[in-house]
Amino acid sequence: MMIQELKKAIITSISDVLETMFFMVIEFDESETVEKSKIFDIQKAYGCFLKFRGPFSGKFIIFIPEDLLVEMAMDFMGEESENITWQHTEGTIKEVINMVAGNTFGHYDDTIEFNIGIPELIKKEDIKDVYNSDREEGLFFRVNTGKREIVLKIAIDK
Amino acid sequence: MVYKVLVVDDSLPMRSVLKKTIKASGFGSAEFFEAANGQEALLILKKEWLDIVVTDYNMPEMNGLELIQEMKKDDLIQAIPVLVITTESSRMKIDEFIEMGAAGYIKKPFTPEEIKAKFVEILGESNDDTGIEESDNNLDF
Repeated sequence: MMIQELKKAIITSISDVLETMFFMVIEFDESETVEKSKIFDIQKAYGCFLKFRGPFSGKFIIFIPEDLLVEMAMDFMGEESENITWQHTEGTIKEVINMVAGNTFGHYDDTIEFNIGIPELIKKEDIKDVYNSDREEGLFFRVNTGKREIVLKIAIDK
Repeated sequence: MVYKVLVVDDSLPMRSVLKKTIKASGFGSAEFFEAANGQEALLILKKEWLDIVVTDYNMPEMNGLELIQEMKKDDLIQAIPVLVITTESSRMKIDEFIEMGAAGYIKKPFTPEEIKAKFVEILGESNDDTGIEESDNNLDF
């Protein structure tokens, strides 16, 4: 596995997905430490993971603050906030991680086949533990959307 | 002409986005049907005569590839074109879609222009300049 190529592929994929489907202007924030991330300034966040298998295996994990996720669902679906339900927000975060994962492998090497699983939500009570667990492993991305931050991690199985 | 379009995706938001994107593409008038997986799609395909199936690949219960395989076994629905909308990027998987009989594929994320181009490629130029009118025919999924 080539880490730098994978990192580049993930950044390209995140940009493609958020800009094309959610009309977001984003920046990747590498200047501050993970502990200063804006995402846990608030208690409410959604988390989702997606396992994959291939020449290397692991999982993608994404965390999105609830208020940002509602805005994303509104932009994604072209609906007003009063029409957004939990099915829409949960479906939106699953779709984000699904698209990011699929596109990552396409950008990484489209001659290699990866089997991508079905996205699964992380239970609310487990989000902070999952966020903090083995943070030193894999690649960690902080995506600045302006007011709020999206955090994405790819954990590679040993 | 009003095209009958079956949108198959386990994601409620993605089904909504696909319908809106198809409408925004300006291809022509469309009547939409929805299913959350391949099995639900087959139930609709047995009841309605459709012009095109737009399906996700990665779905629980029955994925898009399995849906195509089942459609090809049925003389009544095997000729209906299937457009696969997928996050899959491996060339082998995409070749597999086409070998199994998919009329085409689009990678997520997609734009209305890409959707329109594929619809034109598969169904031919629309003769409807009035824009898409939506008529939803949803089962309770």
